[in-house]
Amino acid sequence: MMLQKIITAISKSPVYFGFVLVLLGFFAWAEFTGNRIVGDDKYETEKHGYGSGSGGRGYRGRSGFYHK
Amino acid sequence: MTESLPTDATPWPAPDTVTCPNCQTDLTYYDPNSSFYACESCHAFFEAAYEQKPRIIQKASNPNPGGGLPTLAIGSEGYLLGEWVRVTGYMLKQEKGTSYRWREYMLLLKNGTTRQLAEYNGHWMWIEPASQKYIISGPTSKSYVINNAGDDYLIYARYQAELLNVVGEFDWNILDDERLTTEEYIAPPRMLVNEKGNSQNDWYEATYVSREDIAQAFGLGTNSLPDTYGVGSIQPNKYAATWTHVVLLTLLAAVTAIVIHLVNIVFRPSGTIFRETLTTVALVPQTNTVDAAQRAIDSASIAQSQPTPKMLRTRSFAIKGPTAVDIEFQSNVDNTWVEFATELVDEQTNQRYIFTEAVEYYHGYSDGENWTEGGTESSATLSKIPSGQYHLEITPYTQYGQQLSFAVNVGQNTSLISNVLLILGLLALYPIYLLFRRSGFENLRWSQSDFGPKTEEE
Repeated sequence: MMLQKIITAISKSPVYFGFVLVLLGFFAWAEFTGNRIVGDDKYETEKHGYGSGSGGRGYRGRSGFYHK
Repeated sequence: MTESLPTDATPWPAPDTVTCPNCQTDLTYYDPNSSFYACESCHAFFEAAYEQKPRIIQKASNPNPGGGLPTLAIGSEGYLLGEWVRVTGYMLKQEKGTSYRWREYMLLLKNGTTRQLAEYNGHWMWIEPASQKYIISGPTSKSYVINNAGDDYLIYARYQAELLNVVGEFDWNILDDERLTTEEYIAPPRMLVNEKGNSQNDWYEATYVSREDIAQAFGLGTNSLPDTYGVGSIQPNKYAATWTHVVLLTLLAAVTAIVIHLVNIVFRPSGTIFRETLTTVALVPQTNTVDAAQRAIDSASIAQSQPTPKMLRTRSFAIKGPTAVDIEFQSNVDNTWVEFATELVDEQTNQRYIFTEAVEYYHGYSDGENWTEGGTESSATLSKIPSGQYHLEITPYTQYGQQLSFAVNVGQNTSLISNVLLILGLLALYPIYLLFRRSGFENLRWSQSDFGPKTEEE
């Protein structure tokens, strides 16, 4: 009964079903690769950074003292 | 198109002719049961029953009051809803006291019975006598009908009709219909019609027929049919049908997404893989020997001459990826702040993942209330970190002269609940859109009715 309903839904809305499959595929890939789709906290990725002496690293922190 | 129609050996009743008593025109009629005729030449309405002498009932004063000619020609043949039909009559009607007009076509079937097609604003209905009498229940003004199938039919219209134009043949005096009160009850795509008079209480069942089906049935182009305006009283809500399927698929997808997330949690459990406690080095600002005026002029060079925090390097640790890595800082800051400019460094490739995280905690008492702001912990989540041996290079920034100790915890396989929420949100977009369109469709349908859900609530 439920299977028949699902088959009918797929046949009636094939484009949306395709969209859902793509969305789920992307979600599964993100989940199993630890990919945070929105809100990755690393803001820069590079081969030579501050520690390598290249001077290519940009610090985005506060530049002065905190004033309450 | 006609080549694909089924053949039916049953012959039509033999047509015959009747002479109009007003203009003497010979009129062809197709239904042997007909006894009332409307002349297409002089628009007189007369009765010619059996062998009796034709009797003029009414001479039309305005034969074509803006209604135009019938779209479906009298005598034309078609195949509709599995039946061969022939158009035998046409009526242009108007609701009394309003300007609402619609057209009704009498259809003769090969078995000698009749049906009707009604068209209003380009929306068509197939009407046939009801197979049963229906019982109206509920308050008078909000009554509805429950049939044997258990469907609720909501009252949609109550009116009296007047005839504006009529052509063709009929087996009853259609002028008597002007004394009837008609009530329409809808459960799209079906309608129940109740015609009530002094001694009459007849029920009819109607079904919505698409414009395309009408055009195909009679071999016409859709352009030759009246244009469609608005929403028909029993026009199927295409958004409602789509919504049902889409909601089912969406629910399945949502469950699947949650299952994928849970499977990931079970087979790749999150956990701390590294922890270390470090201490910042207190910075002392250099004493300036220049006067204030010179300091203002050359502030940039003075800033550059200030001491910079010392970078701290952690021990090495392994990450099994690709995975999301959570890096948490803990520091017992008290009315102060510390900010960690951090690099996660792959020791094999020297790939660096750079981020900044701050810990700040303030508290106090003002305006009679205790207040706090911030906390002693803060964490960052780094996406898609590949397997490898890593260490952290942390440069802590804080106030001059302040020495703070802090702990850094590194965890892997961090649960990304934000991914689940995002995917659920994306999945919900289309159903929500359909919900609005479905509601808008129904509002448009009921905007043409004196009844309806909104009216009932008032």
